[in-house]
Amino acid sequence: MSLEPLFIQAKEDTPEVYLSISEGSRIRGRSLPENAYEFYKPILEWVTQFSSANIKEFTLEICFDYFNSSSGRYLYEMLHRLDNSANKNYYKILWKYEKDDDLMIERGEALQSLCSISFQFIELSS
Amino acid sequence: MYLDTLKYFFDRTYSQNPAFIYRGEFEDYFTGLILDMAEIRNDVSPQENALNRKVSFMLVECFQNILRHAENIGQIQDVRDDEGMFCFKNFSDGFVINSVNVIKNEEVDKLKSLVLQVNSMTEDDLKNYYLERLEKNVLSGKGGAGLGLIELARKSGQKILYQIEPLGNGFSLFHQQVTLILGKEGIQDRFKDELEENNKVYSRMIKDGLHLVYKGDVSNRSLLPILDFLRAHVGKSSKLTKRLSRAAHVLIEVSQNITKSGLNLETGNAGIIMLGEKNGRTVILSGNLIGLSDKILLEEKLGYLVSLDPSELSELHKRTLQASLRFESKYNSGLGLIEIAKAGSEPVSFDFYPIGSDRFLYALAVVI
Repeated sequence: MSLEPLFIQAKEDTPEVYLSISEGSRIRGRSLPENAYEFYKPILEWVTQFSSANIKEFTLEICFDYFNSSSGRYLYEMLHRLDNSANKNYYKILWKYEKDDDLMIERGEALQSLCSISFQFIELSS
Repeated sequence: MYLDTLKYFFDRTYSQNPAFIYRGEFEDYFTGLILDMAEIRNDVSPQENALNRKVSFMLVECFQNILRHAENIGQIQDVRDDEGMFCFKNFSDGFVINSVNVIKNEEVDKLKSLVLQVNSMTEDDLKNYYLERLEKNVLSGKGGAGLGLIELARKSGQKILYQIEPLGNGFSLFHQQVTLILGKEGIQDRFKDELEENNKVYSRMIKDGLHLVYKGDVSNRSLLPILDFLRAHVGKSSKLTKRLSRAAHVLIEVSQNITKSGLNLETGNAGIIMLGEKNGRTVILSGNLIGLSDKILLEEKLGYLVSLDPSELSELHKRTLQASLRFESKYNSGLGLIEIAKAGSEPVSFDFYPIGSDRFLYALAVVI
């Protein structure tokens, strides 16, 4: 499949995004855009194309300092699209969080409970 | 109690955009954050750029003066370790900078006579005096020799106002006010009451455990420096990632709530955001003006949220998230308020204060 990787450089209020069918997919940093729809639109479009492709292995690292509720809404939409794929059992989310950040764990667990994609929770070493 | 505090500060900053008050420990890197906060205005014209440079210079000079005296704080016994305050207020006709810092009693007379001397000088006198001091290179132990004060007087064109408040144990608080008046040279008394007003504000900040008040246009430009202040404060005083994470999340949500829904005071999305620490908890207060229809909706929504226990809130959050995929609106899913309610360690408190005939101050307090 010829789906090009998507790279979005981090800004002070938006995360670095790298999505690729091969490896190293990640969303890292702060996600506080005032217009989350505009920011997440290309990500959702990439995921829609990706989830209809026959990819048997996909790991996405998600590591936020902070993310706002609108970003959470679009993360959920992204997971929902992955969840609708015939290959969803081959997908995995690595949800990374700072030690003692129970809110970040809680918010990851809330997203996990709404889809059947595998989540692995990983505490960042300080 | 917190909501009354918010109303108090909203009333006092109503005609100011922006207004910024910080009380607490002072770090060098705050200088950049303060300049960021001061520049948050939508309507800066080219002729105002020169003015802004002058204001920036005065802000830095006043702030650095607090930093120079910061070492005194550590030497005071029976006084809080966060004694000191920095405040700026932008009025339509002027800019006021107030600072409060600890000085040794033995420095009081010298400082008083320098201020009196500087206040009695004409513009030319000040220039000559500055050059004279510079040439003689009379540097004090802290490297200032009063040059900063002379420069402030030159840039301001106004008298420097001050008050000395004895603290005991050989130290005093030095309250200083520097003003810049726009387009009305010679009006010396325009902001003289602000010095007394600032003393009241300082006492109220201490009484209510407040560390930061920001009133002005609310957007990510104001949110990001406030997040840095929060990180410096909560992170430092408690080292609790847990509390910092929740506090940051609430701060982000209340701020973006104002950005999306606040009615303009003059320009932009004006609101007020306050941070405090009391009894080992972090308090976040937010306020913005709304119309009657929003008041009715919010009253109902918040009334419902405070009636739910944590597990019911989590359930509601999940349902709202699921439902959000079907929402037509891409911008208002209602998740923000639920997440604010979830992050608090007790139910949020809120009130709506009538402002004029058809607007309300929507005040929200979250304790973490």
